[in-house]
Amino acid sequence: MASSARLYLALMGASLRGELQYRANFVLWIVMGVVFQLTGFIFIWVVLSRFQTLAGWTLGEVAFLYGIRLLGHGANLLIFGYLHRIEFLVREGDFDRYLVRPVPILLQVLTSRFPVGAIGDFGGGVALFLAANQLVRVDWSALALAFAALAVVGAALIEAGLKLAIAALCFRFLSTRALVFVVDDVFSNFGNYPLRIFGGLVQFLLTFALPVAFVAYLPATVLLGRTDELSVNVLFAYLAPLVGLVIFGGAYVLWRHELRQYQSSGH
Amino acid sequence: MSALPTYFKIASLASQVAYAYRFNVLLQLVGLLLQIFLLRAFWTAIYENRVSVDGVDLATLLTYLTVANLQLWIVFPEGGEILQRRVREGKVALDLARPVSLVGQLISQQVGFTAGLLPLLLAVTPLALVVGVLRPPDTLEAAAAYVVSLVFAYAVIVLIGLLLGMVSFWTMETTGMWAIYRFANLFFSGGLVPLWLFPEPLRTVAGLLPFQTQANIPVSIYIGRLTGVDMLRALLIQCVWIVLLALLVRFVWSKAIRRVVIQGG
Repeated sequence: MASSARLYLALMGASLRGELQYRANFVLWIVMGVVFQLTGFIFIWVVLSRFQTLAGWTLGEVAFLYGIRLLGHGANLLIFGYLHRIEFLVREGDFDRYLVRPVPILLQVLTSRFPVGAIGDFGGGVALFLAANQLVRVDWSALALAFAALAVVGAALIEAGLKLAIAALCFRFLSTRALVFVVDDVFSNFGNYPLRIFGGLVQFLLTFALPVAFVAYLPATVLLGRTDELSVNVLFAYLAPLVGLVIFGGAYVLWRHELRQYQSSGH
Repeated sequence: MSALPTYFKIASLASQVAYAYRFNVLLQLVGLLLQIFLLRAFWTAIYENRVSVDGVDLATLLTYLTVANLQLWIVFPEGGEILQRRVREGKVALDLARPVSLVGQLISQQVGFTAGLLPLLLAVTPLALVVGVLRPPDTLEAAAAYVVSLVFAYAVIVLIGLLLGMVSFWTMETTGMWAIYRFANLFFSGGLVPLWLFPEPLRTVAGLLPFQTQANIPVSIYIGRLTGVDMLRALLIQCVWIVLLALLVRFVWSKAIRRVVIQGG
């Protein structure tokens, strides 16, 4: 485990130095990451500057929720940003060379390039979260801080776990683009809002069919003291950070199992 | 005039492109329906118990958003992206050697592409009725004026697409520019928030940009918010943008043609 971590840092450092060879491009990608993520927030800001609240949530509270999701999303991209490449590697037959190197396969894929844009995503998350924190009253006890940190890690693991599970499926199905697209689309569009606006059925689906609720909505209700509005048991909100661990663990088991199904498409 | 059958042929070939990429198009349509559903849930929560805001009730606003998003999807400036691809791959040399003008080829390709997508859009419209709200146009006159306004909107977006495409004669890397365009068009066209609900400094900015011609003007006419003199003024704004952009396209094209660098080939 410790040697894997050292290997990861060494390889990621090399990738980062590689990306830094093109300074202008490097900065451009980061700026695009920030702009892309924050533009989604501009929409909420414009509407709430006129209407004040969204299902009882103030601008600060929605920004707080949005910030948690963005932090989790950014953290996920920083580490697992190149998971989606597996599909192409498998289809093109380039996956073969990862199998013959003395480094864990996943580690090789993740460090093959440095996901520069993710710095922008994560930075945007930090900025939004800190700004939102000025607008809401959260009692930042040590426990609350720990919960928030775990919630962000959990959020990152939920997204990463789903992506890893989808990547594992590509050994059998070759094209998983549709799944990646739908999951990305739902998480990045629906994950930023207090889910009660979607009504009972959709809220249920976004909790138990696709675990969007556990990413930011449920943790945010805990930190903002809004758990009264939940239609699920409040325990789900308090245990939300653990969901990421469970999903990622399950996805990893699936990945190990499916890896054996790999049949090279040859050259 | 004699080139007309050629353009028609190009357009009819382009109309089949949508079906070659049917899987991509299908995914886009799923995204479109999700977007319409999200906007409906969002705005329903925003309206809460308000009967109407600025004289627009919730069902009318949701109709506006559904029509606007269906329409923004179908009038995507494909022509610009085709040009960019051809320049990057060096194939623009072939296009320029053809006996009909390149700008004409691009416009016919764009029109053909849109025509190809139209049946698919009509096929998902019943689903848009389920996830969003879609009422018929306010009146018969509104329907007629909407069609006129939609044609103007299409002309504007084709011209903007050509301008953006021509940028690739100066710089090959235009991914960032297209990303900014997509956001600017979705937001400043009024595709997410109708322009009448924009806060003041932003509304003035949106009023000075060409994007308002894409959703806010035609769809405001559709729901009957723009009528009479206001409607004629809005249509005039669209025409002014068509003239301005057409002049700009002519000017930029005359510069671009002298800068053509053929990659490889």
